[in-house]
Amino acid sequence: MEYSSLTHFPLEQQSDNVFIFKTACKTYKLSVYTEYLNNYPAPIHEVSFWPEINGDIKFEKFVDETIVFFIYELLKSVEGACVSYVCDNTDKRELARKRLFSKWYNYFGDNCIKLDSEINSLDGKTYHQSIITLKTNPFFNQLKSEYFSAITEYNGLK
Amino acid sequence: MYNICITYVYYNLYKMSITIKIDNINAPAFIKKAVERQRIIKSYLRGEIDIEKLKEHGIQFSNPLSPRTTI
Repeated sequence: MEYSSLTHFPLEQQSDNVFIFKTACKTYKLSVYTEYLNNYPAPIHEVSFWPEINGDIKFEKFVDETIVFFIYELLKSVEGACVSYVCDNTDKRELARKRLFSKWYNYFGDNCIKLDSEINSLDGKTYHQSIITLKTNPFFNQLKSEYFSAITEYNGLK
Repeated sequence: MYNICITYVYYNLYKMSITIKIDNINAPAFIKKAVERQRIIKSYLRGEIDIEKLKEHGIQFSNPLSPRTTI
């Protein structure tokens, strides 16, 4: 699905830099935390979101589209910008989160390219992280190199 | 005793993704920090902690879309 055809709820920024959008049943909050990876020249944004339930819990249309639209706006904001998400594994539901993100990517990610890492760590936990960027990112090769180096060189792997 | 580290790299040309899967290593600090940061941010978004507590953890939200405040 093309980014330009997404139907979305309007998003509004609050004083603490959190964006919200409201549906009939819920108020969704989205936050952005920005960091930089080694020598990669563009920002990497971590997006978090949480729904506050205001009424009946039921399926609502366009919620996925709104979150995806927000992510696309971040990707377009600066040349080479990326969005990162890491699946929280403290409640052992990281695989369910990964499946949801993969579903969104498969359906909405026509204009994107994704780097995934899955680490079965020595501490017995599994860490899933992904970085998404636009296909037109001129720094993609550098991103790939920096990201995979950051993972493997930490453990002395070359 | 040796740790055997197995690395897989998958290329999905249809959906344009590259996956690296590694077993038996220490998860990099930047990934562990990201997981912990997610947990703290979710606590804030749920209203369980306030913004001062967030700042104590060194977390400050950004607005990369500035100066836009509505989308």
